[in-house]
Amino acid sequence: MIQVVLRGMLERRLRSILTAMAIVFGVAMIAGAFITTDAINSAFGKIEQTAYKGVSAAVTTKTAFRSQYTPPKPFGEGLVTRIRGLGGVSAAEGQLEELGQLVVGGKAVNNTFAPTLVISTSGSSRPLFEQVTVDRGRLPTGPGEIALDDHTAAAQGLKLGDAAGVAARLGLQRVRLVGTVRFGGGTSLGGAILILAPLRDVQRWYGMQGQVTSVIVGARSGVSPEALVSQIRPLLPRGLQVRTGQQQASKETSDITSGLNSFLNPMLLSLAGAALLVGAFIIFNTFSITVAQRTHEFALLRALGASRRQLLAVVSSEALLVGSLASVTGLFAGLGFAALLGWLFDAAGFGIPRSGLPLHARTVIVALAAGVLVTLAAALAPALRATRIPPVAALQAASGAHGPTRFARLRAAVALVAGFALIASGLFGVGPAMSRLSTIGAGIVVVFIGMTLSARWFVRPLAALIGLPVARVFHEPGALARENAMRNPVRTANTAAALMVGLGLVVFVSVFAAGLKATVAGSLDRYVKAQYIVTSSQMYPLPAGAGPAIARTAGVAASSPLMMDQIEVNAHSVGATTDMLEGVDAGALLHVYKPDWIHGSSALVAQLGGDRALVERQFVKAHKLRLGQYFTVTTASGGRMRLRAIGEYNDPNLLPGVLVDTATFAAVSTSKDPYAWFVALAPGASRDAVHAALEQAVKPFPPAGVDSLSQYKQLMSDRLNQIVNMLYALLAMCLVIALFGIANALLLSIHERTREFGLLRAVGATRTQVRRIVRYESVITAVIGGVLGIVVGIAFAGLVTIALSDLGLSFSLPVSQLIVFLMLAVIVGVLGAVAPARRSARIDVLQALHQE
Amino acid sequence: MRAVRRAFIVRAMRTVSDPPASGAQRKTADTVVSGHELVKSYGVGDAIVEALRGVTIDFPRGSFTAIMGPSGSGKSTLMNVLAGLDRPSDGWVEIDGARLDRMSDHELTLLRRRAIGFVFQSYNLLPVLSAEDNIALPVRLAAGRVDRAWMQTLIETVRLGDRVRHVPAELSGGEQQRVAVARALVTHPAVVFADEPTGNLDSASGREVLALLRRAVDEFGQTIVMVTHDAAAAAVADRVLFLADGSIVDCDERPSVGEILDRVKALQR
Repeated sequence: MIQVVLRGMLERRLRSILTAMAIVFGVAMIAGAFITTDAINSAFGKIEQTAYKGVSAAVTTKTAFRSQYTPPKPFGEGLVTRIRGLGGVSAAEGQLEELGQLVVGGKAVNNTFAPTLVISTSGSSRPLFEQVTVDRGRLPTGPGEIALDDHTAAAQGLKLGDAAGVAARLGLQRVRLVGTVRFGGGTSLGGAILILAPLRDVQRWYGMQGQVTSVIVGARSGVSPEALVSQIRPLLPRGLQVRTGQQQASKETSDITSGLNSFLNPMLLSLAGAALLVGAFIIFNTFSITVAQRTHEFALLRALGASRRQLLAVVSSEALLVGSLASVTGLFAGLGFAALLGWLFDAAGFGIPRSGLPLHARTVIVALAAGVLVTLAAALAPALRATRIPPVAALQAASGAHGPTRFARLRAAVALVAGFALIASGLFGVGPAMSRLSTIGAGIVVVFIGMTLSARWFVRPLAALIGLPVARVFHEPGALARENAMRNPVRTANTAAALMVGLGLVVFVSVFAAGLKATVAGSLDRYVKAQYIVTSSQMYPLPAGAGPAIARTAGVAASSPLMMDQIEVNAHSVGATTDMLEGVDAGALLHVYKPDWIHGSSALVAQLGGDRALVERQFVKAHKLRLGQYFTVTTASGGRMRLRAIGEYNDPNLLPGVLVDTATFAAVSTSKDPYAWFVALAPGASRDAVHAALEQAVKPFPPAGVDSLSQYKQLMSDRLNQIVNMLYALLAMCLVIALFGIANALLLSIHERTREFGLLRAVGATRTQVRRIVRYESVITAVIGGVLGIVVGIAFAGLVTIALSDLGLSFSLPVSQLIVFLMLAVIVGVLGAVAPARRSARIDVLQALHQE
Repeated sequence: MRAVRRAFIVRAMRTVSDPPASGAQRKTADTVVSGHELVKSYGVGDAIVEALRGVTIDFPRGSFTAIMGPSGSGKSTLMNVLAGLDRPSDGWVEIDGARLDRMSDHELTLLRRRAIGFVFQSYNLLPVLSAEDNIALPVRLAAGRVDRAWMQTLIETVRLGDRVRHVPAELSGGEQQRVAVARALVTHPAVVFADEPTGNLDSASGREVLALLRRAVDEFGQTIVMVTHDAAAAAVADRVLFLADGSIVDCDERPSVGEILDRVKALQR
């Protein structure tokens, strides 16, 4: 029996390869996702290990919870001196780490997503610890000296002795480059810039004289890190903690990587899942077609005494073989895909440190298992169909098409209803986010299957409709292509399904993103009275020193900073969308912002300060708050305060959570730098003049930039586009796989219709015309997939929008983009037809006509 | 009559033993298709099989010729070569004064479209097109305008009535073959090649198809070349060529069914 399988596969080499490609891509994406996250984890591991090389103990501030918004709470340098006095200590260094910006030639070096870190050094020319290796020159010792990581120095063309600037909290600082360093054993820092400066400078630049945020300690020889830690612990005031260097390194690694892995890995894996789903549709379609084509052969085998089980074995072992070979290939292609991903991240400015292409056993097992199982599962239904072929079929004329089975209608309906129900229950239900997300994912898969099952009823009219202009414009080849696309609706539906899935996801992303953009723009239009917004283009905090400079600018009537921190409310875990604390200048707020009051009025703004807070509607809902009620907020740095809700407003996008005066904010949060300023124009002032004056005012404080409201909208939409484009790039994989699916199905159809093509050639169809017939059929099929994908994608986005309507998410159809996607479907159709069209044109007339 | 027949046989025989010098062919002005010293061999070395061993033959305009012969005599090969579906190993074919061996594949296709009609044993209609559209297909492929009057004549001739709007699967074998004949005639081709047109039909349907071919010759002046091994079918033709082992061995003008059967029997011996 296995001989039958092998012979069959060898004979249909091209089809086997194309079928395999569908799986290769999906598996490559799974493997690539794992390899990429492993590479990132390993890179961070290396960086942190190096960062604590030679460090026996580290003193840091305790945090209530992890938050990217909260800088560590500083403490007095006196502790460093006290630690130095301990018996087991060889060296102790207080450190400060801040966000800043490198300025070269008067321009801030913009490294998009990756941060620029300003890290203090001891002021000694030789490092006390082995955190960094000096590449050229020396470490900074005197005021105004800095060292840079060697990548940045080279990229900026900076030589030792060159002048540069550091944009810090208190403004632009003039510095000189005295050395370059390597960090983390030469690992890519993913675009991050490191600025090393003496501690005194960093303290001065950031207004933190006499303060540090961590202490690293070296042990005398013979003193174990553990012994050192227990020596230090009694010295520590409340809110500080001490760990061994090793512990601190792994703690920081896991902090960073678990944050990354919690979104990057699921995202990459769900995209890989989508690719495998597309692959599964193709496998299913291919095996369905070949089983139908081999009816005669299978019936003959049955007539010769093959059992049903043997037939099942023939088809499944073919699937197993294809699946295994494809999975192994896919695993190695995964290495290439991971490299591609890294390149993509870099190109998108989304630099993440990576180290090599590690291939762990887990990657191998999961990728191979997924590939093989998906192939087997997709081939199961066609394999079972093969076993139901009666032996007598060997004696009858081959009949290609199958009528719909009795339960086809019911099955399709059940799948559609169940799929949408699953999605809805995931969207509107309660429970942990992860399980709800997987419910939604399962629902999406079932909806796609339901669409494919039900497609047989609307593919015919759809093909007729789409084919109409094709037939009009391209005459006979067009008309024939249209008829061909209509003749076997089940097959056309299955072929189009792969593209439907890929394009459906693309459309979902696009419609969802359009909604987000519309939402942000809507909130800005409705609630913001300010004419200008000062932000960094990448949503980093801005130097606080810019505030007075903005306020002083002529033509500015009022300005308010926007401080942000994450909070725990009444000791409940942090809800990402609601639990934010925002500090604004209560005196200026009504000049720059128009609250949408649910309870209260603008008179309340003047009462802000002390423990009084305004609360956003979603926050009230989430914490079941009543007006006048007290609630406790805790920041990550340990600040805690009881606040009283005095008014309720609605704006879940710009000002979610709790709104307090800046003074109240400072009492509970360690965040010193605002994320934005809202600036209102004085009546009668010239817009252009004030804009220019503001730009001049914030010049010493890069990365601060001044945007008018409409420019800011554009900025937000550009930022979103960066992410959306990356998703598109990844989803493009699905489209490529769908392309193989179309090619494969067409090749099989052409094989089936060799006689017809022979006849067409005999009655005078040129090779070009034959190629066109195939190409147009491909395009019609692809456009069907495109139309269905667009419908499904819009439906998904609509559901999600309804589910998130509480957050003010609005629905917006990016019509021009949808047209582009439809054109994309046409292109996929044209490309998918290249090989089949060539094959159809090569059909030998004589052989075709005498083929049985 | 006898004299003419003899002349054909003599010439056919000569092609085997003593082929004339190339280009020395004279032919009458209204020869539509002519084959010159056609040789077709398959395989190489010892395994070489000669399907045609130098056949020279003319087909006058408006004639109905049947080609007969036992299986393996080369009659299908001869037709394929004459129709430009297959290229001869040696010799050449002229259709309407044009040398096929000098044509590219594309030119051959255009020639087929313009000057040749085909009727196959297994109908070979496109399953997705209605009978009417199948008939019009060659014209449409040429992006030409369908001659309504001519289409109407053809549809009346094939006597399908309203059923011309049906797809082939809904027609009987005889009906399908009549559609195929109409399709072959639609472009007013110089010649129609019919390959066992009655092979798959019962005798009544077969007679109808043959009558249709006969009418095409008599009423429309169509030239038809038909390969068949059915003596009754061959008897409808104006002349019957007999092939054996890749050579023309005999040629009868308007033989009776009995004469044909005798001839076939003689060849099989």
